[in-house]
Amino acid sequence: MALEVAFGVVGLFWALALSAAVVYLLTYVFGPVAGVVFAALSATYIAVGYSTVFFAYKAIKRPELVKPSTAILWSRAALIAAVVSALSANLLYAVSSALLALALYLYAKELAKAAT
Amino acid sequence: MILELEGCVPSFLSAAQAPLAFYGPSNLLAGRFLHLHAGDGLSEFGAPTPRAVEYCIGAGRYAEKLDPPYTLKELLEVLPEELRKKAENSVCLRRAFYLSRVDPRLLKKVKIYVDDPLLLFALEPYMPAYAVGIPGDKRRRAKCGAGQPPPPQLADAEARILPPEEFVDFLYARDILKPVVNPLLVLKLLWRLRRVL
Repeated sequence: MALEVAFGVVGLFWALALSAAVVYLLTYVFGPVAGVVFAALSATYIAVGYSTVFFAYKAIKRPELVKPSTAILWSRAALIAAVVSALSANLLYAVSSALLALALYLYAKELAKAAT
Repeated sequence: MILELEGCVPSFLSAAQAPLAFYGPSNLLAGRFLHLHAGDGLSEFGAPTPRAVEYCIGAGRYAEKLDPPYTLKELLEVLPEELRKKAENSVCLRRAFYLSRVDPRLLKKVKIYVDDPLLLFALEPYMPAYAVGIPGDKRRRAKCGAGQPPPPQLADAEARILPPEEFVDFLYARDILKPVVNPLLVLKLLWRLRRVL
């Protein structure tokens, strides 16, 4: 989770800069529609990405807030963020998100086992 | 959603497509049905539907606030004082938690008859559910068929109740790609962050 916070902030900042450059390039070459579509897609990715970072930060500070349903939900979000990051070559954030997804999944299982 | 049936129920049940779950008097059945039972067991972890919680302790609207899966402790936290006492001592609620972990994967191609309303509530998220004798969300008046409905044929079967860890696996794998294909779920995800922050 600490890795997610560290790599997430750096990796997503890099993604933000890269997206801005690509949006500029697409708008210049293909027109404003292409730029707007790419901007919307990258904004969604960055928003979900920063959400997982905030979640990881909050989970470190107040672990009692992490319930089985929350763990499953954010593990899925982190998994999707990891796949998208790996595809866009944002490797540090992809690895940290994959680890966060795994950690939350195992934690959900632990909570389930404890509540039996 | 549970549909409460009235009218010519046997005609309706024999014509309906599998999968479906039916709760009611067994003399209303027509055609091949799997009579589903569940072994003894109580639990404090699962995903009982608000309807099941309403049936046991009359607190369905509080259960709506919780996302599946949840624990009895989480439910107790959202209940008001008078209902909390009731929930703490409720065997029905613990049974609902246990049955909510029913494995629906082997039941996708059959018509199921249950004689326990809690088992009907547990199957409701996975297949159409019909009932006679308990109030449903909607009522449907079944039309009578032209011919005589076939006689009932019941085969007994034991429901598989998933252990908590397998239930987490099941919920995790189910609909994993939904947030990708449905942007509304992404917005919902972001909205949920409000609760965490």
